[in-house]
Amino acid sequence: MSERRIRHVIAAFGSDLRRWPDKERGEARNLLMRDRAAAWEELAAARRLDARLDRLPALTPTPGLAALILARAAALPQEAAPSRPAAAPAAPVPGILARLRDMLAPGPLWPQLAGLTAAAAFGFFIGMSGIVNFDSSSNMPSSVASYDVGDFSGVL
Amino acid sequence: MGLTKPKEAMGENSDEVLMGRVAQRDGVAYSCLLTRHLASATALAGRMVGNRADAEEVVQEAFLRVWKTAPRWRPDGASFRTWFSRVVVNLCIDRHRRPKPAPLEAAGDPADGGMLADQQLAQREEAAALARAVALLPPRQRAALALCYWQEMSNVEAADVLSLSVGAVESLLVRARRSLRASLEPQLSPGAAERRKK
Repeated sequence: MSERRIRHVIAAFGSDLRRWPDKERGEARNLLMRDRAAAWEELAAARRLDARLDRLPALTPTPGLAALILARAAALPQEAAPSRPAAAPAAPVPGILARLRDMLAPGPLWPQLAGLTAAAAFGFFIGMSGIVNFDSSSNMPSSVASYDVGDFSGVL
Repeated sequence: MGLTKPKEAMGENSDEVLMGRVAQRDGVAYSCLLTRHLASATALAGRMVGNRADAEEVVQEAFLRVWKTAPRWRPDGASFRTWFSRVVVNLCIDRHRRPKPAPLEAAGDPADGGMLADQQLAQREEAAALARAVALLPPRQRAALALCYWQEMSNVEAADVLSLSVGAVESLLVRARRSLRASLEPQLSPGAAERRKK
């Protein structure tokens, strides 16, 4: 810090180092301790003015001021918050529960009935056509226990 | 809106949190902000406009603006204190380009109740002379001095309040203090106190 700068800081902020800019306070203190004569006159003059400034009393609020402000504010409407640009409403993605509810919800029965009728007709056709042999002498397993659980890994 | 006394717990919140609640029409938060900043705002306005009536009108207006604009308020990097000080300073500057101080009123009450009457009078006259000198400063110089000296803001914070560079604030301060020294020179010169006693 130059002597010129320290004189400028004293001229601006006065003699009390606590009021000086944070970044320069340490360096200024060191300079003044090294060479107090560097800014002696400025410091003395600033100290005299500071003493006067310190003696100027601050205005204190009158006792009823806070209550008056509260009463006035209570009767005052607030401004509206700034409106943000409305985002386009996203298409709702139904959750699992919503889908389940939709599936179970009562609705027209004709699609279900049509499907059931088609399945029954197909079964009747297969049975009557003899494509599948239901002869009891065939090698069908007689019990569930005799089933050989095969490897379905290639199928599934 | 229920404007009641601030709750103890509310006092622990930062100004910015309280301001968010004021935006929700929370009267308790508003009351807490008021309690926290009333004295400081009154002192600042008093230094700026130089008399009680105008200072308290400015303070009222500033706090009503807090209430009114809370829903639109955004910190934007500045603290509530900085923003609110800016409101007070700007209202003062707008209100009185050239303040008309009531000197003895601006000088306030003597600090020491046991002081002799002539000492009290001398002290009040001295304070009144300084108040007059401060009142003659251009508004921005007065604001820089009030913020940096009496409000004890840093140069950076004062620059934020005044929307100026730090260098510009320093220039205002140098000119303000130089003007005050020139105005008060006879009283500031070494030995002036002794001369006054005689």
